[in-house]
Amino acid sequence: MLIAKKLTKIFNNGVVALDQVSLTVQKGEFVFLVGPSGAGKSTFLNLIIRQEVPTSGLIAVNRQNLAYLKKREIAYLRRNIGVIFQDYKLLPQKTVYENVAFALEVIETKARLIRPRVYAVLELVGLLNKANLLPSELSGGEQQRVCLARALVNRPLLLLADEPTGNLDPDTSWGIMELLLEVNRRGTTIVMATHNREIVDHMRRRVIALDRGKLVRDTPKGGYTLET
Amino acid sequence: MKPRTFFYFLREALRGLVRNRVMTLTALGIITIGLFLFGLFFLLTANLHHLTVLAWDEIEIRVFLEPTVKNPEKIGAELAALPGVKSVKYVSKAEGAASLEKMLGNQNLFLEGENPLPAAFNLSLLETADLQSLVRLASAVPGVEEVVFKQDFVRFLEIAIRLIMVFGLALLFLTAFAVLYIIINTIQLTVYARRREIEIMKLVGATDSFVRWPFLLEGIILGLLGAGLALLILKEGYAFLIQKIQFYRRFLPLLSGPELELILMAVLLGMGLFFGGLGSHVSLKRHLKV
Ligand SMILES: Nc1ncnc2c1ncn2[C@@H]1O[C@H](COP(=O)(O)OP(=O)(O)OP(=O)(O)O)[C@@H](O)[C@H]1O
Ligand SMILES: [Mg+2]
Repeated sequence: MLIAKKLTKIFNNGVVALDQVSLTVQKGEFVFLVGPSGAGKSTFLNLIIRQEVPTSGLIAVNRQNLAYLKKREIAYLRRNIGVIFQDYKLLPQKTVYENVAFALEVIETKARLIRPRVYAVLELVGLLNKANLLPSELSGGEQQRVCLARALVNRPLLLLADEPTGNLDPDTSWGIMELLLEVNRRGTTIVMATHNREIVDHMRRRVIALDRGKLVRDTPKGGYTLET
Repeated sequence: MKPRTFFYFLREALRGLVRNRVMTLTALGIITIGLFLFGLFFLLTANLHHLTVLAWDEIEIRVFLEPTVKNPEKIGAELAALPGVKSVKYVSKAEGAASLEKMLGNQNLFLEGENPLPAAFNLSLLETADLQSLVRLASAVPGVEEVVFKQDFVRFLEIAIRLIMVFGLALLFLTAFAVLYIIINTIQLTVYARRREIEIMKLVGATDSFVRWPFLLEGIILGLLGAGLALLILKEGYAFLIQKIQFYRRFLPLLSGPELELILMAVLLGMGLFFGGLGSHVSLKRHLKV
């Protein structure tokens, strides 16, 4: 599903965000990406959706080497990847329904398919009764779930979650995690960047740890740190 | 493009224009002013050019024939064939004397049979005539004695025409660039106001052209509306001006008529359309790099 080989990203200002990272993620896996702030987690996710371009090394998604993609192919790549952004990226002047439907409209989904799909995914994340509210009228956790709904509405093969439980209380966090697990059970590969020790330790999934851009640990069924 | 997709773009474009009302009106105002100025300079240049052409039409070159000439028609034909000559008119000895007498207001300037004026041809010129070489060629025609014209006036006109062409065109180009520049800048503001939307569209997999079309249509609509408004103002203003100076018309013959109106319309609408579209295109470039 996901292959990185000696993946390196050096920003224009000289910061080495990723340093020779090599890893493979199989289809259907649920992977935690951990590491201190500034370790390069978000950068790694940004490389996967080609929001950033690697300085050197290879990254391939679904057997496609991203280096060789044309602009149009990048758009098509992104249609297969759902992203929960660290900062939600919801449009403030659109309602919950419109924010989710937007993701289908702009990839030219047939109009008659949009409504049922949006309602189905809103039901999945438990926001059916808030469909007509604006993001500003929602709590943080609810906004997080709108973002999840938008990431899922196109039934992606791969879901990238960047701190989907950041700033959320434990109960809400577990709610989100249950949703992700359900999605994973339905076959979507998930890569989740997180600082949430409790969740990582409890779930016992594959853990990939980055530190200052280097891959320092890759354990199946691991914990947040080596000892746990 | 499917019609449904096009209508989606159109709806998005109109929505964008309505949603950012203040921005839209500001942009429209600026585009209108820019295109109005362009139209104004256009009319100014066209009229100055028109004036010099009218003056050029007044220029006459008089070609005096040798007194011994027996076949003036042949010489006339030769003169008419020279490059830059619009028409040729024969002035006989008697006619020449008559017009001279009329000019001087003296009925008996010459004694009977002693008319010293040679027969001549009056040449009127095409706009493109090269006077120097024409005079040279005309002098070389056998039977021609002398070629006479108002040298200073012609020099002056030649320079004036050239200056007006150069400065007029330069001014028009400059205004056009200025208009394009402000259009780009105003559209850039509307694009900037919606950069989040663009970013998200791209991140969920919209193609560049899908993102671009609504903005392109917005720019084109703005450009065309601005051109329409500018045309309206120019048309009314110009009609008013022409009516005001009706009295001086003989001295200041301004261009008018449906032909001028059509040209101005085509130029301004074309500019509005092209610049609006180009402005959007350029403004978007940076934001599509997500
Ligand atoms: N656009 C950028 N330009 C320059 N440097 C950047 C850019 N984005 C990130 N960085 C730098 O790259 C490094 C890795 O950043 P990244 O956002 O990937 O960290 P992270 O692991 O996601 O951290 P956090 O847990 O705080 O989200 C940081 O040092 C950051 O300052
Ligand atoms: Mg991050």
